[in-house]
Amino acid sequence: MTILDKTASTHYYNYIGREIRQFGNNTMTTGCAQYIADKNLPEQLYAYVVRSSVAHAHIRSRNKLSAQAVPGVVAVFTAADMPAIQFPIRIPMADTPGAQKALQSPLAVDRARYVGEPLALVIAEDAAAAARAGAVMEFDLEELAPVLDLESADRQPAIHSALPDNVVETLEFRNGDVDKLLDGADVVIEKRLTFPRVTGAPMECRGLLADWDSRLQCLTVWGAAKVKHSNSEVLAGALGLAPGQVRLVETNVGGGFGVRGEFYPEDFLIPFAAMQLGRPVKWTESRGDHFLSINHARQQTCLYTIAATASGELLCFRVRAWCDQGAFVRTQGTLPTLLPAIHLPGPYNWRGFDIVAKGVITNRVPVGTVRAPGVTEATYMRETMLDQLARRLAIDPADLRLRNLITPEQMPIAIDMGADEPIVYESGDFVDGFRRMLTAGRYAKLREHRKHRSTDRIRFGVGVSAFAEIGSVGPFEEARIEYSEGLFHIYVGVASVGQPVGTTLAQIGADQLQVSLDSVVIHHHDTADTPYGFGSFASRSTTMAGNAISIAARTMRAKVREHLAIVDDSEPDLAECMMLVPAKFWVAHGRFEKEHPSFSFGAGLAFVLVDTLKGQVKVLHYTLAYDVGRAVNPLLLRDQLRGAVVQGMGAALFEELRYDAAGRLLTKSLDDYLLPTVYDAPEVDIVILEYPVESNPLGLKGGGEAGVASVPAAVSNAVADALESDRVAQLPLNPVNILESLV
Amino acid sequence: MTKQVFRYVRPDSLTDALDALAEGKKNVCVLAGGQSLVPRLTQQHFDVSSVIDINYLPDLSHIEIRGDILHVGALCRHADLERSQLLKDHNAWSVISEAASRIGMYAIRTRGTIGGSLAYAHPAAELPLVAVALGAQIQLRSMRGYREITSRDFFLDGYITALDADELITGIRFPAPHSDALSAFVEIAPRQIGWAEAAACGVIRLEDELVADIVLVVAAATTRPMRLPETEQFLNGKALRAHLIAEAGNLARAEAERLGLSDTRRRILVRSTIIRILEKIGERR
Repeated sequence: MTILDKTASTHYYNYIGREIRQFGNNTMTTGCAQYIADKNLPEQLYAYVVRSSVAHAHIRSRNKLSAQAVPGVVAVFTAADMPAIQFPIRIPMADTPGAQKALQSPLAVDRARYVGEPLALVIAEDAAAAARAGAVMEFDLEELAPVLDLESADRQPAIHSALPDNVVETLEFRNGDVDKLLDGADVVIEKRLTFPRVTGAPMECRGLLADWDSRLQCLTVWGAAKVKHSNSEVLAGALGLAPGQVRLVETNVGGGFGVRGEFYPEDFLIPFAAMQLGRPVKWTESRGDHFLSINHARQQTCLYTIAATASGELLCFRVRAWCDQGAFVRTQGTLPTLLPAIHLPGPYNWRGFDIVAKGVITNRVPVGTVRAPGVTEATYMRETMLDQLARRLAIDPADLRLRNLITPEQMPIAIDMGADEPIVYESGDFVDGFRRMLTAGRYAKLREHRKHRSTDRIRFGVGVSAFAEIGSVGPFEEARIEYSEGLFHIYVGVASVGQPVGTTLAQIGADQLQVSLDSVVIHHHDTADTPYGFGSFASRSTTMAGNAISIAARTMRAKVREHLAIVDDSEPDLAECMMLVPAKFWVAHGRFEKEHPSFSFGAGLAFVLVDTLKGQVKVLHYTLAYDVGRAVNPLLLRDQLRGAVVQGMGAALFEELRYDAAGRLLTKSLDDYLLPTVYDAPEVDIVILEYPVESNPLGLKGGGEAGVASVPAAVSNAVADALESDRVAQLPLNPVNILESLV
Repeated sequence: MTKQVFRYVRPDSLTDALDALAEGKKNVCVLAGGQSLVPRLTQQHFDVSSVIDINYLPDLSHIEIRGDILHVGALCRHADLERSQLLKDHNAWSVISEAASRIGMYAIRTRGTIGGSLAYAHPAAELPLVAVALGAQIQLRSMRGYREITSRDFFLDGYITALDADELITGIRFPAPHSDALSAFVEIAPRQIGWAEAAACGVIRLEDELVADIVLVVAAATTRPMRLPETEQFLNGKALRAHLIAEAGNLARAEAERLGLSDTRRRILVRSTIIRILEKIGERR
């Protein structure tokens, strides 16, 4: 395995690997960002979505009259006023026959299935009138018992009549003879573990502004994010328009985290109303509505059995998991069930495993993905069990992992999942990566510290975890480079949900074109001028768009050099060459296709303090090692990973979407849904690992999400270490959960 | 953020302010620090017809000891209490400073006022808890006149106080505790900042190591600051030894249940706060 030598380059403009602060107009930190709330059009109307206040009910009738009578109201829509459509699943591998029976419509038709489900749409001359009218809208609801428990959901009344057992998917992944391995094991431990329901909680809530141009027969929607092109296709289909008639535009986006930008009911309702009424329609949601409508994530319970030899060699695991899909299967299909399952084996050698995961429909807000989806939950489950094992066998937790990590000699390695396709880890040195994490985090010293500084009351704990995360997902991205008046405009189909793709992609563009950075401009905001793209998720933007840009840039450079008959090794600035070549050389295209995702290794080390009287946990220090293949901009990468660590710590210590027994969400404000603040953030050390892959020319792996993945596991392990307890305190590790685990 | 239309009144004198309050009748809000009111206004949690901004009223920002009574003006900011050397140097009143330092983050403390905190009566607010523990008198004025009410009768429930719609809190008087009295303040919150899930304040005087006077008040887990008379009674005349402290903690947990705290998990936190209060007093003795 070679580490890239970044100094060995004949390039003049060597931008890949450089630590460049965000370049260009960094609107997010200079106060000139334009978020969707800032975008307005003359004559615009305002929308208000009326939502169900009960978790489960038959809708007997609805009465619009009182809402229509409110001064300023222009229109009131219910399901009867719009086409009978359902939102399709965007991810083919997460589209199952069961999922097809639980798709969501823009407005509830005959049954309300979660608190927050859209029941009606009110359009008025101002936002207050729309909200007032929404409040007086009348529904005759016959309440039904809500289905909330995951493990018994298959024996409860059906939420969707076509789906009698409330199960949308039963996944089975098997490898080896687990029964036999369990019989022959020296140690077998079984635990029931749960991961709480959380969400992405971006700083900016959602909003949309839709404008139908009847003259040009063209619809423009501002407020798109993440997956613009896919959403424009879905929207065109739902409205009966040709794809070219729909234009989606990204304003500045105040955070995505996986939840923002998926196709939600409002993404149909607002453009639909604009077309119906012939005037622009604006919608922004409150934080309370955001919690009731945005995808929730991660909620699952599993029975985990782990087996090993007395010397600490891992043998096998068996998992029976119930993953909450919420009331409907949304655009990401059964990913909430699939992604935890495929991340369960992780970076270790197993002689066998047996996974059965059920995706369960409940009367809660539908579930999608949140940053580092699946891998975060699976890592928590597996790494908790590894620590149980280490404690039982009296082996150091780090040693247990080092003993069982897949070795560099095994690379590349295909893990047979018993399904059609194996999981492939292409490159990396997991053992070296884990060791470097231990060294950077001063593991041995922390263990000493823990031993000598802990008192009965104030206890220190050290916890580790390791994972392998899916990323750099295909199928393809395209890039178009246009030279114009000294500038190279690069158009790509990925998105910025706040992360600086404009800088990292410009670095790749300038490097591969051999031009100065300030002559490159990245365009990704508008479906009208960008090539088709799959958007920003699964840590794919830099890998996918970066390689597409590289291909386009190399093509442009090669053609210009050929035309100018540059044959020697001299590398003239391409910008200086452009005026010497005909205009047909001023445009270049690149397309990068990637059949399989790439998995990256990472490991975390948490050092925590636990006050055993008050039940308070403070993460004092966190070390994260993560393999990105090749760091395009180590500075921005470290910042992104650092932010992800803090977000992971939020899930570990504070965040939980809580429901009452009637299926009503209790945590509808940031007073109740506790996000980590800067005061809670630990000191974070980032160790960037660079084991390039050969499946893309730039050698990149993902970097955006994985910082989250190790954190709940490592923090929880550190807390258990501090408390010297076999009992695993329920996440989030807040005072009541900690003190309850001590009783 | 959606727009709310309301009348904004900015009186320069107390009389004008009271006049506006009396006139306003329904849906009148007093704007002091605005740290709870303004977010609630922007989220349209309630209808408001006028907002009376009292920030320009003179002479309501003092922290001073007159006679042996501590007078604090209603417009005194949390940061002023936090930084007050007068308070920090005092055996028992230092707890006001300590509690103020635990409110929100610094930006909030530079704006938020003690009068606003008492009037809003958030269940987890720090200053109502301390006011009850120290037996503060709350001074109220209206066009009808002046009255004082003890903090122990002021807080009726979460967000509900004995303040009448036309009344304004102008100041808080803290009676002098015994010169040997010690105080302590404890909060349990998941995060470093933000609302506590349980909080307690204790004022205790020891005589020859034995508890001679004791006030124990809990909040946050309960909907309003509540004294724990049975736990106080149990400790009276006893020394603050470890096993008695543990027993007092268990007693406090049981007493919280009898006082209406039904959440068993929150009751565990009450136990922890009381134990920590007694330990801190023991450490300071």
